[in-house]
Amino acid sequence: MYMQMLQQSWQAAKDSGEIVMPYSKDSKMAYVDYREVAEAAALAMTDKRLSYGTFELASPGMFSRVDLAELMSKKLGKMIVAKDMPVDEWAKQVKIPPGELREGLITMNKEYDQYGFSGGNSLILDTILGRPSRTVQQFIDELQ
Amino acid sequence: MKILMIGATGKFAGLVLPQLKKQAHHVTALVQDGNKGQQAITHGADEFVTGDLYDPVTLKKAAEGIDGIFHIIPAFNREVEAGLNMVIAAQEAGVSKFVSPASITLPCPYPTMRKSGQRKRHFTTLAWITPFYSLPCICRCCSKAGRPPKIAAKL
Repeated sequence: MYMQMLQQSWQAAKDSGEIVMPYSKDSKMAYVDYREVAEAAALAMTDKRLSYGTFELASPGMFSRVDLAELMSKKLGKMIVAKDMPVDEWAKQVKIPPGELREGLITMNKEYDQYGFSGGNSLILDTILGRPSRTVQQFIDELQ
Repeated sequence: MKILMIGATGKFAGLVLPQLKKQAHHVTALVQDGNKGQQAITHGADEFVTGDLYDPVTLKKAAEGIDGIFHIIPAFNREVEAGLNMVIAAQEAGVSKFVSPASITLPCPYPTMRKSGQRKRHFTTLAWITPFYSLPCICRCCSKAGRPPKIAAKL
């Protein structure tokens, strides 16, 4: 999951005190800051260390929506609640026409609901960047 | 290096453009139309070329004289076709670097069959940076089964 997607949850947390997604609030997800994916991709053009490689780019840890709500609660100084929206209900509400995109997103959210989204660990990204990768906590701390 | 970039005006891929410019690459944005091209220029691209990921002829022309390609595939939109079209164009043009971050957009090359006979899509983990043709699956089921890397689709 890209950390940039947390910006929408952050806004919802500020506005309504709730963060809602169409998969279980207990599903653990791996995150990465896309700015660091971008940096790694640019490095891959010229850095021969990365030639012919396939790399998992993830920040440390995995976070459920409950975990995120806790982090956002601390930052905002008010209680943020993680809530669930059934995938089928989400599918009824979302305005995406029938087709590959709609079916793909429904399948993806069902996968997230059941298994979460594992992304390895931060060892590889830390190594490529030559510094510790940005954590979810740091990303949330930077949100306004 | 002369880089051809897909997604220069995108929300996420657009973040790659400043990183490429930071390393003094010459960036040509592949866009669908002139309006997008102007956006890409505004965001920092040196120039733009119009093309379509589903039109191999336009990709072949766009890849001429290019050293490296940053490729991103539209999610859930004929992904394998869009990916392979660009890979083939790159190969024919002699492009030396092909960098492709992907998240959920590459299907597992080991699909399982449901009882209904439908193919079940597997999702892989976070971003990959892949060279030509090497699309090893690192999804949970394949890791567990110890499956070796496999080409996602035959060229």
